[in-house]
Amino acid sequence: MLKRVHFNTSWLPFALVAPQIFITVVFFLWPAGQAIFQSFLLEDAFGLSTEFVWFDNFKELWADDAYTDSFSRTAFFSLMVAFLSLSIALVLAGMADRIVKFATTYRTLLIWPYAVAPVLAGALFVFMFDPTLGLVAYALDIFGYDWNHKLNGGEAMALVIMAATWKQISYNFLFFLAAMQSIPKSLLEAAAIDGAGPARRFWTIIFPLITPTTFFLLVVNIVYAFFDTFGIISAVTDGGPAGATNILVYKVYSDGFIGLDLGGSAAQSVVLMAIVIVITIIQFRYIEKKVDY
Amino acid sequence: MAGVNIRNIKKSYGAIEVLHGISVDIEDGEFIVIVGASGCGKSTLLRMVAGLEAITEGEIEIGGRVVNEVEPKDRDIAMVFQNYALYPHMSVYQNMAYGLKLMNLPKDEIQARVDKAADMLQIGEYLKRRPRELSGGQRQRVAMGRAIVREPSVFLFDEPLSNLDAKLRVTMRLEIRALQRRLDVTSLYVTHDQVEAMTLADRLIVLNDGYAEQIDTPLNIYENPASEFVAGFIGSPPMNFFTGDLSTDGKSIEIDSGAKIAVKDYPVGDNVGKPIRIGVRAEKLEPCSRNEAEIILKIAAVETLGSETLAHGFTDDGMAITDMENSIVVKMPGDARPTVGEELPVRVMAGGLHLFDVGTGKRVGG
Ligand SMILES: Nc1ncnc2c1ncn2[C@@H]1O[C@H](COP(=O)(O)OP(=O)(O)O)[C@@H](O)[C@H]1O
Ligand SMILES: [Mg+2]
Repeated sequence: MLKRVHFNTSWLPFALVAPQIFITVVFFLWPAGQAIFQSFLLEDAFGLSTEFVWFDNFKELWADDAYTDSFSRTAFFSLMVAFLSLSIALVLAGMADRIVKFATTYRTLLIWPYAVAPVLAGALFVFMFDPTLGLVAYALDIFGYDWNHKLNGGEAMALVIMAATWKQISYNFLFFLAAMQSIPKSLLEAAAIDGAGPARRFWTIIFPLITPTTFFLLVVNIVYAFFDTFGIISAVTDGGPAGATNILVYKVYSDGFIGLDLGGSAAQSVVLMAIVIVITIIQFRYIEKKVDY
Repeated sequence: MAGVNIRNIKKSYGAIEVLHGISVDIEDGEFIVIVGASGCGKSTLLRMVAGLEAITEGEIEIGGRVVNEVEPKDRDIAMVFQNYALYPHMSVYQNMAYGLKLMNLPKDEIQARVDKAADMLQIGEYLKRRPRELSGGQRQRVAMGRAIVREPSVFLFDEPLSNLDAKLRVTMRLEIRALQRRLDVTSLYVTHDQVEAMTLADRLIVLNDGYAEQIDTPLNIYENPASEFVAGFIGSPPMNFFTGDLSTDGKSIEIDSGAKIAVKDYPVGDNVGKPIRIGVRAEKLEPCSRNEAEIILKIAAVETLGSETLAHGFTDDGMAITDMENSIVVKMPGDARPTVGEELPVRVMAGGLHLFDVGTGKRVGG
């Protein structure tokens, strides 16, 4: 039998959760409601008159090449960031799991990037890759490569992918390492006696056993790349050049606050919200259940 | 098929030496049990034979070949782990076939070997299941099966039964022994359970704090323990110990309470007139009349086990109840009914005496 704690006063539990509810309502539910409402409105550029237009804003979005382009660009960006940050973190965790000396130092160093704010991470990469001042750009120049992400859309995309990936590696690394260390050592010893070398042990024992973690991280990384990379885009490229790095989250901002198309921007944010909801459902339905060994 | 020769093996973790030079020659087909208290270095020794632990000093030979630098997979061994170490994401069949696939055996050979082992262990009907769908005993069998299919020259077991309940442990123990006889494969078996050790072993290695105290057949060890440690560790209930003084004529020992124990023809060597440790097993103390008695015990507790009765007593009544681990135990027939508080006169039966050096704990007089 579980013991229950009884409160004699009925207001106490409400008082205790009130701050959280307040924050959720003010910073999440209210703006979300506003966005949904706004997405049905058409407003003139000066905010003087509004008109209720039903789904016109959404229809317009799908008809707009710039939006569908941004969609595929975002998909590419997210998959690249998720794939790269997961693979690099996996390799690093695999190595950290094996080393004994300096293990803590190594781990601490790998965790640091996670503590860096997205905008600062972006700024860091801007400095390194600046076509005129950047160290890396200079190095590339020595090898005869003329780097300029301010003009070249592909290079700009590569740069934001690098910055976003770099920041996410730490997080993935921590989860991968924890998952690997929870595998009993004797399993790997048994595999070693069975004749599996380090690489085969990794692919046939470790990797399958951390699948639940990998799935979980895949979702987290896609969500991160979709929604949490605004700061990086803003600091590195401002969505440019010529919209080459204008991914969905950034487009919400640029269309709404720079282009002043509030209705369209709200419709975009509603679409993003729908995506988050779908991903969350997928995660709950299919992934959390699989965590079972 | 292969013998194993262990020569002066030492192991250090950093500055701490945990094995201090163990040597033993194990014959082909022999069942060797390494027994000792927890933390004495049993697993370490076994893992060095397996190649999972580097050898600090000394040499290990398997089948006449020095394997110090040989990878585990090339040592021609198979190991059964305490937690079974089954691959949780593979079926029973895949667990057993994993190593065979890595040996690049043809598919039908793999199938044949797994089927044969599954048959022998009666796990044929579980081949498609995952380990977590099996009971402890079944997992244990699968772990054995995975070792058997490799057809190794040496089996290594690290406390394979300690996660099972008491009853299953007894059956599995018998099965392991029968299996080993049938396959005739050299085996090294680690356990902290002295009953398991006694029943399984052709020869026992009794480890104490990284030293091999005695290497011999279970019966020889039981009858002629080489040290006080071995005497106390092997046998249940543990051997009774007293401290006393050997008389100058070497014929009797006076223990603390004033009682005199006859030495008879026990070879006492140059210990006459010196303090000495006396060991007597519970079944070698026989109740007798008062005037034949060598020791008079005051009974402090009685354990009635049905087949036998154990009377725990002290030589003087000042002993506290909490001091039971130092009590003197007398094994009596199952129908004996000693009562607590009563005095029990006993004497040492012929051949029941063991003497040990007070300082070194070594057996006196071979
Ligand atoms: N990896 C290790 N690092 C340091 N000390 C260890 C390590 N493994 C074992 N030891 C020490 O070696 C001793 C023997 O350990 P072990 O062989 O596991 O004992 P047993 O199997 O007899 O219980 C113990 O004192 C243990 O603390
Ligand atoms: Mg052990």
